[in-house]
Amino acid sequence: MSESERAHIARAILEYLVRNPCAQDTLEGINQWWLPQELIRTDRATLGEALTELVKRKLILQSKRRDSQIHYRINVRKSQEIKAILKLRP
Amino acid sequence: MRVQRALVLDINTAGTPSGTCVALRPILSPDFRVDVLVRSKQNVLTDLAECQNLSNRRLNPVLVFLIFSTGVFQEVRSLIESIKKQIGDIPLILVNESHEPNDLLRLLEAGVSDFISTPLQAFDVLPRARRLVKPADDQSCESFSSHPLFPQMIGESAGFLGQVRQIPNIAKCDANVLIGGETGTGKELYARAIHYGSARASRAFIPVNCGAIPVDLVENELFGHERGAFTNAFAMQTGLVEEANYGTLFLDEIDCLPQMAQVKLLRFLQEREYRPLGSSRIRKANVRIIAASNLDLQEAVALGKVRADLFYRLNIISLSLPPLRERLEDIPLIAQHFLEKYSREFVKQEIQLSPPALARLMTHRWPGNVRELEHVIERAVALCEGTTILETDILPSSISGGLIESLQEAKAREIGQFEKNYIRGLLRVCRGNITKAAGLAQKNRRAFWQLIQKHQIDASSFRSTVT
Repeated sequence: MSESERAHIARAILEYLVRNPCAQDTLEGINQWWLPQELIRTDRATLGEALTELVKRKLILQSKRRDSQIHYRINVRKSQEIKAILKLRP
Repeated sequence: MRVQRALVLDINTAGTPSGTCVALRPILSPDFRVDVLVRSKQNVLTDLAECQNLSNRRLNPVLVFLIFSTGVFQEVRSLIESIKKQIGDIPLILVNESHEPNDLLRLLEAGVSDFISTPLQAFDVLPRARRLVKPADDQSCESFSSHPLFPQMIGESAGFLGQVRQIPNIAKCDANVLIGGETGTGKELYARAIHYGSARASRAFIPVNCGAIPVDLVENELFGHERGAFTNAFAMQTGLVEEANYGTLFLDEIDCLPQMAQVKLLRFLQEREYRPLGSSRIRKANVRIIAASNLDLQEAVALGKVRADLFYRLNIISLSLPPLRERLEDIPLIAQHFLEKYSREFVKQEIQLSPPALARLMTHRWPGNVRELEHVIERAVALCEGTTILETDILPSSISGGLIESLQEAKAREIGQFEKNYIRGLLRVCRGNITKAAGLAQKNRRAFWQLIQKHQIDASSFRSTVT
């Protein structure tokens, strides 16, 4: 997977979250519902890497639950930074 | 600002306003001017004519609440159809105490927009009413038809389409949903389709596998805890219910929920309020619950595994997903979908199934349903060296009936058979009493119950057995 593809996916996730700041779902849901709304189709591995990158940059938060599912949501404290990132050309 | 009018149509055998009607009026009055029509069962047909004259009476409601007791289903359905004909797109909210899921689905098809169960709570009723009377261009979510819906829902069989077609109607109402179906039939996929087609689409979808959470921690996981609630509770933790506030909580394997958590969930479903562990404060949350199970929940209720009141509270609308073996005609389409998906994922050129390979897929019984089919195709694509998958390429152990079993497979089969016979023997001795049987096996009841489930043993059939 190329770096640009991962960045493209990450950007789509952020765009979705800026429009839906209260959204939260697992990787499966993001792949099935968030990304198609951004007209993006990808595989789980690529999406997983994009999510890991966003979590590492603290732009999104992940919480691992007792049933081992990991939920992702926007880091509201980084909302301004996210909006600034999205203003930059991809 | 002009006050909008809501019509409450109360159909009951007494002919006087029901308790529900009396409770509903003050709840609505802050937002609506409320008009009430009370009619007895015998006068339902008169109501039809009355409702046909609604526009003449200048009621002009923006919303209609229908309250009805059991036993007048056909009349209510006729009434709904009549109102829909007369008043067009006016949203109808049905308020009732007893639920027959199939009836409710038929009412959704007839034009009901939402269901509300008693006891009525203002914080539950008003948001749902407001959502329905919003102008169409002010809807916070996209209309269902404009969604890139159902990309993962593939099939053309009547059984499959029958369930899928209900999703838009189920999505637009806010009632709890119970999804049944064998493992691998796509219960979570349906739950997400309902969530993302609903007014809650922009909020959280929180899936929880109740069977994967240790029994002692379920309550904590769902409702959270305060600091110091128990040893090692060094900080406050929010529960999944709070995280799902204004969104959807998907409770998979609901039958695995321990009794105490069932009681707390029931209270939450009734009152929309809960108390985190160690907290003295009651909290409220607005969450839509979609529950799922691969068991026959009515049987689980009969066995005491699931509380009857919880079952009825959850089973407002039910979906029953067909197993793959009952929709064999969908296998070529689903297989093709997974072929394309995994060809992309493994960066391979377009791969196709050979006719004998497809024929083999069509003759398998698919106990693991679509999930099993997906894994079979994934494996075949990964191992395929050319562009065509042959019959011999796709055969995993579960399909390879004619081949010799590995040691592991043979051992698993023998152990499974032993477990089944052993459990049946114990249940026979204990006359179907699961707790006693678990005690004799020196297993805890939950683990023993899971074994019963695994082997699909009907414990109740041993109740009349004499040792």
